[in-house]
Amino acid sequence: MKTVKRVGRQGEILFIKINKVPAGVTELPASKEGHIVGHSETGHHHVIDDKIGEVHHYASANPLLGYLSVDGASADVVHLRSFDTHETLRLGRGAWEIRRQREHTPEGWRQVAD
Amino acid sequence: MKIKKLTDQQIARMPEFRDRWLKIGLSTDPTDRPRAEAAIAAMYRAAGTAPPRKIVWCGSPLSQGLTRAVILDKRMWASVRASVGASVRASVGASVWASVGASVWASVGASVRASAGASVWASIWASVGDSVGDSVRASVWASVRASVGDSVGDSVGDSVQASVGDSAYGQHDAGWLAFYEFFRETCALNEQTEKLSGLTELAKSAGWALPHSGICWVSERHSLLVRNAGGRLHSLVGPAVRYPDGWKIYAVNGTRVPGEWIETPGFLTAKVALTHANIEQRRAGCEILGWAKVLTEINAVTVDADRDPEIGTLLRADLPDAPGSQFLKVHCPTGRDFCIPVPADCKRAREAWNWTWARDEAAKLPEVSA
Repeated sequence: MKTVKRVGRQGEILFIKINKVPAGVTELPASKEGHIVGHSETGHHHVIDDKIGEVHHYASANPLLGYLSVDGASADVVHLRSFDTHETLRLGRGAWEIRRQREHTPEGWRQVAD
Repeated sequence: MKIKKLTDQQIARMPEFRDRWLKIGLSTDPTDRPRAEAAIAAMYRAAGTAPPRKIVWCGSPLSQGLTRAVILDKRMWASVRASVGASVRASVGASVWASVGASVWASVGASVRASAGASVWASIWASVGDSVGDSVRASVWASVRASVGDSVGDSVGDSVQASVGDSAYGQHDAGWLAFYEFFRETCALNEQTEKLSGLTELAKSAGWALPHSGICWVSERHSLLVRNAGGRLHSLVGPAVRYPDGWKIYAVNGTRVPGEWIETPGFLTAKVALTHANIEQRRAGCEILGWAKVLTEINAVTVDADRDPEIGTLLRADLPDAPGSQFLKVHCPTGRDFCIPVPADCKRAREAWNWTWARDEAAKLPEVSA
């Protein structure tokens, strides 16, 4: 478990502490596995398991950017894979930007997929 | 009376259950059809449901999902209706997974929890259930589950993918079944675990099952399973998983890869590996070829190397139809190396790394990385 103060990275996702979640974003419901902050084609998602509704997850118009509001003391981002597992990150209370990694393509760029 | 502590004799039997269920979960033995069909009837009865009138055997979880989709998917049904006959579809009732599977697991879980203290539950789970589950569920089942959906086109993908969620996983349920069988056999929790007897017998005799009212599709076990020393699916010379109907899954150190990479000599080149869309598969491709060979084959030259290996090394190479391609070779905190395509005009590794995050060079670097 690693605690993030300002900027933390878990695989292809960055978590950046911000002052507040911007306006115009859309709140996303949690899935069975929790809030999927990093989707994996193979099911090895990066998730925040929030059973008591203390975490709010938002999508923006930019697929690379999402946001989190952690209303409780902290939220843990867990990588759902039992091997080559990215260590859990602990995010403190407040607003966070989720920034997903991209890669170059002949057409421009695409989000890194795993 | 609630079990608060395990005896030394009970603890000593944990490896026996772990080994027994690992063997069941990873079995490639032919299916025992009579035993499996009796198990299916018991599963239905445990849920208070009449056993199915028809049991349909399938060669793999994929053909099981496809066979159901032929009947239930409106588009597929339209194309086979004339030759199959409406009575077939009429005889297929709704999925009964919720009662045959989900509610049984929930009910048994609650009964056993009520009979065993939290520390007993945790220690048996850690020593028996979790260790079996990690080898069977996390390694084999997860790959089979993901491959079922990936093996079919978009037109029937949703129908077939839905079959995964509606299935009992037979031998791949080994982790939880080992856990409850330990309670049953060593702690005398017979009544509390009785409802699982059908699912337990299914696991000992067959693969996945897809229970519906009136009909149950059931799959053969895998006939081949190849794993590396760490227990992950792995074969560089053929499929890592094969089912009796010929369905195969290819994997390298736990990462599923296209079959051509393994089966077709010369198919996997440095270019194919480096330009593959999925970054985990791209890494696996480079590992199959060997990083040194990949970089030699494309005549990669180092443009810039950051002192932080997680920022990486900026490489430039003239690929056959993409001269001047650039890649950032980065070291991941999980200990593996990845290649990320970056724009040709990047001049420094840190510039390329920041580009991948759509951030400018003044942006703060992560203080923690995992």
